[in-house]
Amino acid sequence: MQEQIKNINTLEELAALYASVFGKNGTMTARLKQMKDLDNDARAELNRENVTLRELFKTRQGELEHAALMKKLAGEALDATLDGVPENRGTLHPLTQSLVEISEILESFGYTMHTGPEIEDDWHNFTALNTPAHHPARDMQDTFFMPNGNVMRTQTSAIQIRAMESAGAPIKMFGVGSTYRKEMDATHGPMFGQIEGLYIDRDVTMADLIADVREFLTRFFEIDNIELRIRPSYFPFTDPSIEIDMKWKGDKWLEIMGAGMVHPNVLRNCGVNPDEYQGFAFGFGWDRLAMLKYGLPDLRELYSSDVRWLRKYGF
Amino acid sequence: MKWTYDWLKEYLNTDASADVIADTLTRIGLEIDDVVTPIVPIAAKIIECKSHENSDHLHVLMVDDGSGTLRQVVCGAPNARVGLISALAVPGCVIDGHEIQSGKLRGVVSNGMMCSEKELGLSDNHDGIIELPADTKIGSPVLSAPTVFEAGITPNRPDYLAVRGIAMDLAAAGMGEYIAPIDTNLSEKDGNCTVNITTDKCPVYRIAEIHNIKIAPSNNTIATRLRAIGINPKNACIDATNYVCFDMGAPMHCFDADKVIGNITVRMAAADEKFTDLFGNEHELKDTDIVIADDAGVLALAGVIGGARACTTDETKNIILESAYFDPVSVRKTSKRLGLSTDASYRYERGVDPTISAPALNVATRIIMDACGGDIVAVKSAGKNPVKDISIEYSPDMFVRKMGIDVPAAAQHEILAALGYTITERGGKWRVTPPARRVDVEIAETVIADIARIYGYDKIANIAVHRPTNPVMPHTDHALDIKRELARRGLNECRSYAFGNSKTEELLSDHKVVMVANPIVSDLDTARGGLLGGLLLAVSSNEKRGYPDLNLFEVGTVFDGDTPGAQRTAMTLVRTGATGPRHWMGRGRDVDIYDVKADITALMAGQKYTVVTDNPPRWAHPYRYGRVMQGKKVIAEFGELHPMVAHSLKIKTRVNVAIVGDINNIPARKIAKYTPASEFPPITRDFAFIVDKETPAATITSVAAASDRRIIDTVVFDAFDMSDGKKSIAFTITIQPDKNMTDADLMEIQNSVIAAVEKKCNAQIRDK
Repeated sequence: MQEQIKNINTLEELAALYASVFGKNGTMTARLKQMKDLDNDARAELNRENVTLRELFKTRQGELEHAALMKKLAGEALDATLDGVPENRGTLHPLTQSLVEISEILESFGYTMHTGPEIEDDWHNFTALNTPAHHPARDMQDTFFMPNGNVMRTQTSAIQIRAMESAGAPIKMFGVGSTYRKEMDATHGPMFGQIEGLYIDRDVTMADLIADVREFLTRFFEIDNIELRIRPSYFPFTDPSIEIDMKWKGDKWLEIMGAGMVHPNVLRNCGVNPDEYQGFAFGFGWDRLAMLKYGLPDLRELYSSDVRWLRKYGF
Repeated sequence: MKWTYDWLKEYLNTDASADVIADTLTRIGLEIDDVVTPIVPIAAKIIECKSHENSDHLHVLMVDDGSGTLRQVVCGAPNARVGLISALAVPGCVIDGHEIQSGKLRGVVSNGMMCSEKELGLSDNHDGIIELPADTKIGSPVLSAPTVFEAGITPNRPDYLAVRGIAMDLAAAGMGEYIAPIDTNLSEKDGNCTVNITTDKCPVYRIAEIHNIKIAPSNNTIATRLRAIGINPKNACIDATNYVCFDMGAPMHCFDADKVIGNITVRMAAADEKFTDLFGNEHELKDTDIVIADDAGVLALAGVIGGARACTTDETKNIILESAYFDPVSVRKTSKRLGLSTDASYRYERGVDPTISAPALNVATRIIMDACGGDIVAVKSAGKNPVKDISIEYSPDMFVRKMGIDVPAAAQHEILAALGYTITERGGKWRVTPPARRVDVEIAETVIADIARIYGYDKIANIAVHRPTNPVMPHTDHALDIKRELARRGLNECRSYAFGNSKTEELLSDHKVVMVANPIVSDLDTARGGLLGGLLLAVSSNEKRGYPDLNLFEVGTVFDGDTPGAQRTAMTLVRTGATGPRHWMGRGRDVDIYDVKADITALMAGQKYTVVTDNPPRWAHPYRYGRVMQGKKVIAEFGELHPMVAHSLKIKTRVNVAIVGDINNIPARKIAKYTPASEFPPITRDFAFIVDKETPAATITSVAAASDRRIIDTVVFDAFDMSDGKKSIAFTITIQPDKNMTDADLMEIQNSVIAAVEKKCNAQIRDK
């Protein structure tokens, strides 16, 4: 009997055999009906046999049910090596990402963010910045003009003028936005981003400027012991003027920023008394900082809208 | 500005190497772009001299250049012969402006060139290669090899346009001892010609007239230095003016005296006066141009360029040398207007040393007469040196206040003295006067800058400590919120130049085009009025690269006019091609206007708005267009690009567009008001209506939604056109019960929906 149960391979056959043993007219059913006529020992023997048989049936049934389930699941097999469902992953432009990082640092230093008009009048783009008409410094920037004589702003310093005109001193702000210069070659496009800080108060010094710039670069590039080289330079709107180079990857000096102590004429032009207030301004290329940090190879690709580039370098 | 190391040493007693000098100059304010030691021709001995197989005059030489291996050189000189020591220019050498390269001459390899005296710039002799003395050391340089410095000049420092000015700064920075030149002036001498000035734009004008000269080349030192900085030596007269220009920062000019008619007058040009420059180009002058004229007309454009008429030639016997000061702004205006930038105008417009004209005249006269002989027949001047009387009030404590580092008064005094300042002291206050050549120093801040650069910025950087301050609140970045939402929705952010193309802009919209007066290229001639043009350009270029499925957006400035503030921050997005790439589960479907509409409505989450479809703009497909409105305010537009527009921009795929004209019209995300969630599960009911084709689906659903306050949502799940000018719209309403609703309650809502839609939308229910 035990062998017979083990050799059954379908649930139906098992059910039939079970019926023939434990059914109404089953063999075991019949024997159990006779049990009252048996002596104690025989009765116990029959009872054991009954329990064992039932367990055998139950075990076999479990085995067969499991086998049936496995067979069903095998029929549902999926190839896990096939590609997952594709998604269109969106990306943010590296300039957007870098502005998030830059503004976070500058705001933690107490600089407030400003923006301003990208088409500017002569006053805000040049004259107020101590660059009157026919000043040779106007040659430093090739300018786009509008037919009415206004310009596409050549520098975000114009934002600082507007901020000081309206808020006066003390002031601690940074301007951010696109600037325009009429140049196009391997390393220049006609438009690029600039970010310029301004800090005017009673006792703001060149040493503070260098310290803020160094701290900013340290945090932005996440480099300890950043090495700077400061070169005297010239901008009409600062005196003294400096340029700041940063040692890059241990070997070469990279020009990273122009800065200086705001020229007294600029303060006067904005209604700030230079005998009472002094301070600094610094400016850097937004694009350039992003390129350096994220390892972007070519500045012009920032504006190429090449989807391969956007997917690779976007955030 | 370029100069040579040996030239610098004429004014600076130093042992410092060229590299140390370059580094020092960069640190004190003259940024060195390049230090170049050129390859010069070397002495080489001809060991073999055979005829060239394919030429009747060329020789094939084997020469000993001292390297140990013989070098093959093809040479056409008749005097080439075995045993001759001559000059070999190896590849890399620059002769007459051409770099020598290895190559084949009529099939035979030549690794260099043998040079004539003319090619070496030593004389005009070009009859054969130079014959060097027999005891010349093989391999030694034939010409001296001046190391050349090249520096970028900031506009404030014209004194750096003179070798002596550079030397003085280097001496102040501890690079050696300044060898002060002893400047003397020629004594005035009367001659036939008189000099007059009739304009205040020329404060001083000097001439020296020299007769009976014999035009000759310059001495070797001057010729070598000029050649090294890229100026071809011509003759001692021309070279002297060029040399003095770089040596003393004094531009000069030389006229042929025999071609000057009558007297010399410095005056403003008459309007429309004509002038032919020494290159033969004719210019029409204005009354803002300073000119040098004689009785017959204009001789030279003052401070810019000489004229053709009184130009010196090889036959010139008598010359007039000019040395003067011209008003920087006038020179700059003339130079800019005529597009003529010369070594002279470059210096005058920045301001030359106002005291240099007399000594410069003397030096140039001496150089010319040393080489060409002659007699000084007249030395004259008109006007006087325009020396500004500058005296700046300064006190040493101003330095620490401005720079944040204390430099002792004695050290400051020492630096200023080394830079040529004169200092008078009274009661702790100083009065300082810069040297005349430092035309940039007018205020105390510049004095501080001078002290700082010589003192050393490194020392200031070393003590600089970041002072922590209170942070400000991070700015609210509405644009960033929008960008993040769009990136989440699978769009790639791009940025493009804020220039547009006027033709494209007119094709896309009827807005006024904002022109740029001097565009960088003719197809970027506007300050863009919208972002769509740039994105369509991106679509077409990406399509060409093989990427037709695009999801791009840009947030950027667009211009409504050419005055400050006539600008907005706009957002435009485009979706093209398929919604997803080809994949084993099947390709995504084609993008349509409902994809871009969904982008807009995602930005409008939680806001009420309406959509209208009238008056489509030029860019839009007239029947696949919608405008998102809040009241009368346009928030956004979306639609498919008009096929004619796509065709003219050579775009093959269908482009779906959404535009937010001003991102400030997108309301900031509101924090939702708290309402307790209902305990009753929502109930849905479906409806299908037949309406006129023109009836917008949104009208039907909004009428349905308005029919009972418990209807919280409607969604169209089926829409199709029927044959008789009608269409079928099927939608689901979601009811949020406020109590246990009975079938009768639901029937009541259902009936009021049907009644409202049938009545207000000329609709008919299909199946109840």
